[in-house]
Formats: sequence, C-alpha cells, structure tokens
Amino acid sequence: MINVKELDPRVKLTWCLFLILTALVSQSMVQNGVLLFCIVVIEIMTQKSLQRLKVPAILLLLVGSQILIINLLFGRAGTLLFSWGFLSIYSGFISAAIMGFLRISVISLGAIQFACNTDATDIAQMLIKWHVPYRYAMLVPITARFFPVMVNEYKSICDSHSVRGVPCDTVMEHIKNLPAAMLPLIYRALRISNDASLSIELRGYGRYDTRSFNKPIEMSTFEGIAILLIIIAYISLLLYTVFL
Amino acid sequence: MESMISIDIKALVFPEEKEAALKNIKLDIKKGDFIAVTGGAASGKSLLLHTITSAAPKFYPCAIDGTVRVADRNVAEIPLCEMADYVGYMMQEPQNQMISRTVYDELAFGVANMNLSNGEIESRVKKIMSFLSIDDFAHRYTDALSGGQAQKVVLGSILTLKSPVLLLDQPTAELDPKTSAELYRHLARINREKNVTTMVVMDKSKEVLKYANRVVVMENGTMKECLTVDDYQNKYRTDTKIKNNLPIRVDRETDIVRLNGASHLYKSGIVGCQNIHFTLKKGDFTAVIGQNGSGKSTMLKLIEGLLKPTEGTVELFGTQVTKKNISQLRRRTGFLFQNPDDQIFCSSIKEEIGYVLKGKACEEEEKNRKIQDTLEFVGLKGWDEVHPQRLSRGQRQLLALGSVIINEPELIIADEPTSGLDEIQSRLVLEKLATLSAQGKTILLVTHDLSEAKYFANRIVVMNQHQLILDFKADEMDEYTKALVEIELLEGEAI
Amino acid sequence: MEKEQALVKGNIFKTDTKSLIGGVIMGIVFVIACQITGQIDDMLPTGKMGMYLINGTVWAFFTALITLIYKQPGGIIAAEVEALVSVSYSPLWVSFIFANGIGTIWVSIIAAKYDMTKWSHHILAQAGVCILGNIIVGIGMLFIFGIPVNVAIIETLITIGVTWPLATILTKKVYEAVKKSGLVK
Repeated sequence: MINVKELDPRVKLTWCLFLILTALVSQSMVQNGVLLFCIVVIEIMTQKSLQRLKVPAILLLLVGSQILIINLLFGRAGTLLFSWGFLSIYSGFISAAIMGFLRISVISLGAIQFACNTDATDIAQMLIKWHVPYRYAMLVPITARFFPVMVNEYKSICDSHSVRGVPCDTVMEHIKNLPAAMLPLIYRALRISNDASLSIELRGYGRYDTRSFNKPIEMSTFEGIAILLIIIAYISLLLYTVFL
Repeated sequence: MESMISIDIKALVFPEEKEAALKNIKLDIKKGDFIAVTGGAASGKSLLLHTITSAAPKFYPCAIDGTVRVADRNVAEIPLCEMADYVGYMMQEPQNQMISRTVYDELAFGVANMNLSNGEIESRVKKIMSFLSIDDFAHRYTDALSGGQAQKVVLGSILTLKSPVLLLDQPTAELDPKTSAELYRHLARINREKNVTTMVVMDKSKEVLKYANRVVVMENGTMKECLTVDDYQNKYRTDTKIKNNLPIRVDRETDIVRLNGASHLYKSGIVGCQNIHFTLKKGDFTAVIGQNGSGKSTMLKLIEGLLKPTEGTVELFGTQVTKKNISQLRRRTGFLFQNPDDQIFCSSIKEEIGYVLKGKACEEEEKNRKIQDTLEFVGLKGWDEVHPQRLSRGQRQLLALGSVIINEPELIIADEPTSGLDEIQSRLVLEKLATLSAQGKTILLVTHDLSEAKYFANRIVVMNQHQLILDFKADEMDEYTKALVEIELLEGEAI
Repeated sequence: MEKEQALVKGNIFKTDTKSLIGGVIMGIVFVIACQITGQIDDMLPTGKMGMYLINGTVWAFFTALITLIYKQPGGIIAAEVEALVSVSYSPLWVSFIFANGIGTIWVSIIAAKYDMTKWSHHILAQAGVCILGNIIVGIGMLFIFGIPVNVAIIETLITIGVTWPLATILTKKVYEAVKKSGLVK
C-alpha cells in the first residue's frame, strides 16, 4: 500500500490541481461525482475513516444549502414550475444546486486532503526546488508553527473579555465587540513577529542561499510517471469537455 | 584574561526621541565571565544586550555614538544573520522564539541555516538534548511544551550554534522556582564547562546571583556601577522583605467563593484539577501557589465560569454558578490576567480605563472622576492620552488592574500578575492589591513567587498534581518548609 | 529617473525578515478574523443569501492594514496565507487567491504614491480593494457556486457598497492606532 504522506509533494500537488481544475472546467455531474468518490476512497484507504472530513463536510452542507436557496429563488433554468408575485421557481434549480455542491466539495476536500497529507517542510522544499529563495519558502512551515500559537492567543483574549463582562450573546453584540477582540490580537501579533524575526535572524536565517533539511525530498521515477499521467488525464478531460 | 565583549557607548538615540536611551557606558567583559545585569524599569538593561547582538541599530533603528566589540570585532560590521558566530540570544517568552513545529527541528533550526551536513546537525542536536536532559521529547510539538520545557528548547537551539557568548533577557521570569533553578544550573554548567561568556538580565528570582561573578547595575540608561556579587549583595541588600503592612480584615461569616469537590477534565483527557474543596471568605487575601501545570489556572477558570466543573459545584457570592447567572456574577468580580496584553485594546490609557463604564447609567462627570481616581490609584495620572502599548509591561499590568477595579468588584482574582515583571514592577502591582485588600476587597492571587505569597497574603493554599494539598496561614509558612521542599516548590531552604 | 524608481521601489518593497515573518503572523490573524466574521455573517439574513458583509469589511480592512504595515512582499504573503488557509472553511478559496493578491498590490501602489494620512488616501486604497476584490469573488461565486449571473452582480454591488466605506473607516482608525502604539516604525 502506498503511504500518501511519504509521496513527493509535487505528485500530491499535481493531483490536487487536477481535482480543482477539473471541477472548475467540467459541466458534468458524473465527472464531479467521480472526483468526489476518488477523494473519499483515498481518505478511507489512507485514514481508515472519514473523521477528518467531518467538519469540512458540515461546512460544505451549510454552503450547499445557501446555493440551493439562491438557485431556488433566483434560478431561471428549465421550465417554470411555480409563480407567485415576484417569486418564480424553475425546474433547473435542483440540478444547478447539486452541480454547485459537487463542485465546491471537490475543490474544498481535494485541497484539504492535500494540506492534511503534506508536511509543511516538504512544501517549503518543493518551493526551493522551484528556485524560490529559502527565506520565502520557509514561511510555509512558519505559518504551520504559529497558527496554534495565535489561536491560543485569541482564546486567551476571548476569555479575558468574557470575564470582564463584555456581552457576547447576540449577533449585534458580537459585531460590536469585534474591535475589542481583534485589536489586542493585532498588537500581540506585532510583538510576536518582532520577537520571532529577531530570534531567527540571530540564528543565521538567510545567511546563505541554501539551508539543510532533516528529510530532503527526492522524486522517484514512479512519481514522475504519475505526474505525467495526471497531466495527460487532465488534458484529455479538457479536450473532451471543450470539443464534445 | 582575554576580553570578550567591550562596550564603549557615548550615546544611543532612537529617532524622534530627544533623550538618549543609553549613555556613557564603558564595560569590558572577559572570556568566561558570568554577568548579571540589573536595574529599574526602562533603565536600558535589554537595550544593552541589543547593542551587543547589534539588533540596535540593525533591527531597532537608532543612532549610536560609540562602538561595541565582540571577540575583537566591531559588531557594526557584522551582518545580523552572521551574529550567531559570536552571540546566542534568548528572550523572555519562549513561545515567541520557536519557529519549528517539532522540538528536533527547532534545535536544528540554526545549524541548518549554517548549511552544515545532516550528520553534523544530528550529532550537535543529540549532544545538546542529552546535555539539557530533553532527549525524551525530540518529536513533540513545540506548541505543546510547558514554559520550562520551551525555555530549555530555546536555549538548546542557541547552544547548538556553539556561540562563544550567551545573552539572556530575563529567561526565567515566567517559570516556577524549581524550573527556574534548573535552567540557571544549566547556564552555570555551560559557563563553567564550555567557558561560554554569559550575560543575564536578572529577573526578580535573583537565582542568577548564585552563579554570576559580577553585577552590572543600570540606571536611567547608563551603567551606574559594576560590582562583584558580594559587593552588590552588601550594597543592595534588602534586609526586610517588602511586606504588606496594611490590615486584612476577614469576615468569617460570608463566603465569597466555595468549591465543593470541583474537578475538571479537559476534552483531550488531561486532568485540569481534581476534587477541590476550597472556601474563600470575604476580605481574605489568599495566595494560590504551585508549579506550572499543577492546576492553579484551571481552578481560577472554574471560579470565573470559563470552565464547567465535570464533577462537584462552584459557588460565587453564595450562589451556584450556572450558565444563566454567570454574567451577573462576573459583574461583581474582577479578573487580572497574567498577560495584560490579552485585554488591552484601546488607543489611549483613559479610554482603556473607562471602557467598562461605557453604556453605564452614570453622569459623564462622575465617569471622568472615576477614571481620574483610578488613574491616580494605579500611578498613571497625567498619562491619559498615551497609547497603552507604549507602556512597560509592568505599567500595562497596572493599567489592566485599573480597568478591572474601576468596576468596583468585590472579588479580585489575579492570575500570576507579576509574571514577567521585574522586582520593582512586581512590588508596585502587589502593593496596589494590598491597598485594595485593606479597602475590604477579597483577593485571590496566583503566584509562583513564594515570598509574594508569604509577605502579602494572609492565607496560602498549595496545589500539586491537580489537587489542593495544603491550606495554611501565611505567617505559618516556615512550618511548611519541609512539605514545600517535598513537592519541589522550594529548594531545601526557607524563604 | 533611476533615483525616482528607487524611491518608488523603496516605498513598495520591504524584504527584511521582520516584514516577512510579520506578514505570516498577521496573515494568521487575518485568517482568524475572517473565520469569526464568517460565522457572524452566517447568522445574519444577508449571510444566508451569500452576502458576507461583515466578513467582506474585515477582509478589506486586513488586506489594506497589513500591506500598509509590512509593504511587499509582506502584504502579499499575509493575503495568500489567508487565501490558502481559507481552504478549510470556504470553497471560494480559489477566488480569494486572486482577490487578496490584487487587493494588496493595489494598496501598495496607493501607499507608494500617498503618505496615507488623509481620508482620501484610504478611500482610494479601499476603492481598489473592495471593487476589484469583490468582482473577483463574484466571478468565483458564479463559477464555483453556479449561481445566476444577475444574482452574482447584485450581491457584488451590494457588498462593494457596504464594505467600501466601513473598511475605509476601520483601516484609517486602526492604522493610526497601530502607528501611535509604537509597535511599528
């Protein structure tokens, strides 16, 4: 069995781009359905469960319901089914909503699968292979490192406001209290970035054009062929969509 | 002995500032010296280290009249990214300085930038891990480390660079006494065994004095004097500890806080605190002490309703805390966080202090009077329009205290309010809490500093491994020395 | 001419480590802010119709603020961090890549030309961010969500109309507060 995490990031990126670009170009519900099926199969094969996709799936259902409402109220494809005052419902709204839902599912889940299965340092190395200076490429793992730090900072700020009795029950109160939550986070971010950048600069960041990596990435022949096959598949699908 | 650092600064001036931030500093540090730097707030201690790293002026633009030499090279001529050959620098907040997700990658970060071979990197990292006894968590995520572990990792990532000079800015200000002592022991070993010249900005623990050979005293941006440790201790000895001499009147009949067998288990399965039975009487000034991770903060969060007890109950002002009444109960309490920056967001001190008065049925004149009184109380009168972020950390903590007390809370909970502050700033914050206590407020103070607990509170409770294990009068602390040593809160000596 | 170019370049670019790391960390704050405001919008009727007005305002505000603080490439780094991390909560992330990028470049151009002290400077900066950004997001909604063209146009126009003035006020106020704080020079 192939360990997806161990694959070269370039293979995974090519597959991810294949999914996204196909979903954007394709007008076929079947094609999008097949792509979504592929994502689910890969997830089951690598993770033995769909747990990781649970939260994104809930969000997608939420967005999907918005697409459904918009198409129901404003869609004009198909035949008129019902009309009352300014409200007109056409038969094409269901297929348009399903198509929209499939497309956003492929685009989102494909990208999430890539992000979950690819180490941030591998992405940095991939960028270095593409001649991006390492000072810039290393910003990818730095983002991964500081994400939980800033989320914790935000939680502390929220706790602080909560105990200060800042009301946060209604939507209006949430909106009103946004500056109180965001400004301390901005100030904290400015302080942390000052400390972090001084700390890394004093540890030789950017001193040479290259740097060493614990696990250097190397593409195998098999992975190269896989990339080629994915590109060929995409071109074929594109030609099929345009000309047929 | 060979000179390692030589500082000769006539003046260091920041743009748009009239006064020099540093002036007339002449200091020569020999190879293998262990220097402690001390001084009041804004005396220039940190800035002095920045002139050695050359961060001032390269990172913090300023004009320097004078020179700083390290290992006989003028630092002005060395690019910042090459300074690692000369100095290793460590700051107060370790989480801000770690840049990698795993401990191993963090330790290897600097040496990987030096383009060394993977074999050499691995060998250096393993040696340092063994030296600092952190072999066990090589593959742990850096954001999951405790304060002490994180500080060791930051130190390790600097040591792998093998710089001949180590500069540390209050490295243990946020650590508990045991972890702090352990870190200083490591620094002493590095200094002794590897002959690394070390310069440490002293925090209030003064642990560094056990190992330093000289003390540099800074005052108003200049070097007041450079003394041997003995001379420093003789000259600056504080025979009597700063004490709370104000009366603490406790009303034994009224319960302000009551925890009835309260426990909290985090979703991740980690125990926060277990079976806590605790009562805080009206007027009490109680200190909660314990090591990092002993459950102190969880206990406070239970009291404030930020966490729900998974077992037992919590009562505030005689009422059981529920989701429905917590907002009302919180109006009667004030919570001072460890990091003042969690709550400060306004663009002026006056606005920040008066924020909670917004929307309250109160005359504008009355509001202004309250704001001015509070500003005076926290020592920030006349600073109304200054941006809070321009204040020192100690002043920001006082501002946070002001914004809490303006609401006239009956109970003030302070979660390590002196963490990260130096001795003078800590004393200011504690004295304000003592004044509030004398005015009849109930105070619950969480601290790492045992002397703060002993000299300011009337009662001490001790947390260990998520449980409340001791509860005694503050003036009886000496009788509990053995117990405190056993749980490693003390290092076998009385305060 | 050479000197003039150098001056313009100096105004647009800031490639020191502080700006790069600042861009990343502020980019994360940008993500957090967008997630929170997205949730607020979801509770509002306009959000249920696909018009993210609060989120759009905060998006335009952060795009401009970070660019003003860190210039380029800090601004574009923050913008793309937000766009790429938004994979986890918005299917429109593909259009954010372009919208954020163009927004930050526009602000850089305006900031290179003006000193950003007057309201007119911020109005102009936000004009580009809100108009260009929302048009791109509108196109994204059209292709990704598959919503009708007239709906996409109306939603885009309403979003521009609401976010432009609000984001202008926010950016000017907060930019001045940040400068006053002394945390950025």
